[in-house]
Amino acid sequence: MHQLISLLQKYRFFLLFLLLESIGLILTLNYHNYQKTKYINASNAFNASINKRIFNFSSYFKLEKNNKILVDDNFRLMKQLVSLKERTDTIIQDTIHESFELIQTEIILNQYKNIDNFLIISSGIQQGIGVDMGLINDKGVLGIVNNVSNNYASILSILNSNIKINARLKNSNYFGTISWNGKNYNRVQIEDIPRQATVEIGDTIVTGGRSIIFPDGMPIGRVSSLESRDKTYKSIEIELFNDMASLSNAYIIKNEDAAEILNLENLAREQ
Amino acid sequence: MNNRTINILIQGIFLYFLQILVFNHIEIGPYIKLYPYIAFVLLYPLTENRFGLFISSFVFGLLIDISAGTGGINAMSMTLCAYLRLPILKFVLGNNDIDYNNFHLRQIPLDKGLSFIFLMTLIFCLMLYSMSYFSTEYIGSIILKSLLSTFATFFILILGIFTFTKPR
Repeated sequence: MHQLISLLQKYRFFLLFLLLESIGLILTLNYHNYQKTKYINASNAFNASINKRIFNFSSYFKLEKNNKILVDDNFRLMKQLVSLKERTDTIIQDTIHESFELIQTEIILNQYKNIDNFLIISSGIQQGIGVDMGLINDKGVLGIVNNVSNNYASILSILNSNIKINARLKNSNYFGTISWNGKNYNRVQIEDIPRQATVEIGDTIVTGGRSIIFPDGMPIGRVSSLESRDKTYKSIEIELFNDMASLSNAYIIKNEDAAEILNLENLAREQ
Repeated sequence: MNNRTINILIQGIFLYFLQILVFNHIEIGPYIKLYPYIAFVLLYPLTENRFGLFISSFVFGLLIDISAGTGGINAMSMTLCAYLRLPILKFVLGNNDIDYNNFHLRQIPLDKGLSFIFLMTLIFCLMLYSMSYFSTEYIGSIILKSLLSTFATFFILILGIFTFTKPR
């Protein structure tokens, strides 16, 4: 007993070090698990409120740049409106069903240098935000809501190694899955594009519309390099339209029919 | 509370807010982040009883983790730095006779002081990025980010330590 006590006494600093590192390791493992699952903790709410204050302060310095973005955005939307009006004039309006709704929001925390990045937006349950809604801006897809609190929501960024977004080539109907290899925050990868698909550098990649989160045709980026992964598929690198290091205004895209579609899917699975 | 504890506390609070309000929001290129709050371990008074240093460094790291939502990676890195501080100091100074009561970073020769700060920052960054990526698949990114962030943080630390502490 005496020997044990003297041993503990001798190695007391090392034992304390091991104990503290073990606690840190457990927290780190939980953190890595939490990135793979849907979980929000008090730290995010605390973090969000601090970041909201910082965002409010720093946004004054970005007013000129943001104004220019909004003017460009308005101009582009006006052009789209005119072109849509021309096309829909010949269609009976009653046949069009609007299933996607946009909710304007602000990105108050933007991570883009980690392997698993998150965004925090200043809208939550009270503004009608729910899990599994998409986040976009005028240039394209940004991520998917993975958790919500009353006034904030955390977004699984397109720059997160766990994200999977259905995408396709704009000019053809070959589909693949967007993922991120964690290296360059301006580039994501699309896997599983069949080898026979004709792809050129510069081709536009858009959402595939095979999920309830994003409608078909939302812009993502353009092809920056190509390589044949194996005999069946191509691996394509995409340069994002968005500058992920500089994000401020965004829109949550809400599918009004999501519950109905999910319900049908569940019924189909049960049968 | 004695004067020394109050000094540690004020230093800790200042570095904490400096880190979460300023440096957590500064990004230099795609690879560099700054972690000047490691100065807490560097400037913590040297004593033979290292319990205070271990616990306060762990808690400090944990507070940064809670603010940034990063699990326990900062707590682990700070605890490792706290544990290795004395062995590294002995290694850099090349002797085991350290005057614990009167020791200060500004007291030792400049080249040895800089080596000590650099080694501590490097260990901190390597631990932080290893835990952050938590996969050998990203070993290249871990080393690159650790080295670049070490150089940048080292520069900030030198500026801060030499500006805010008096020569002894």
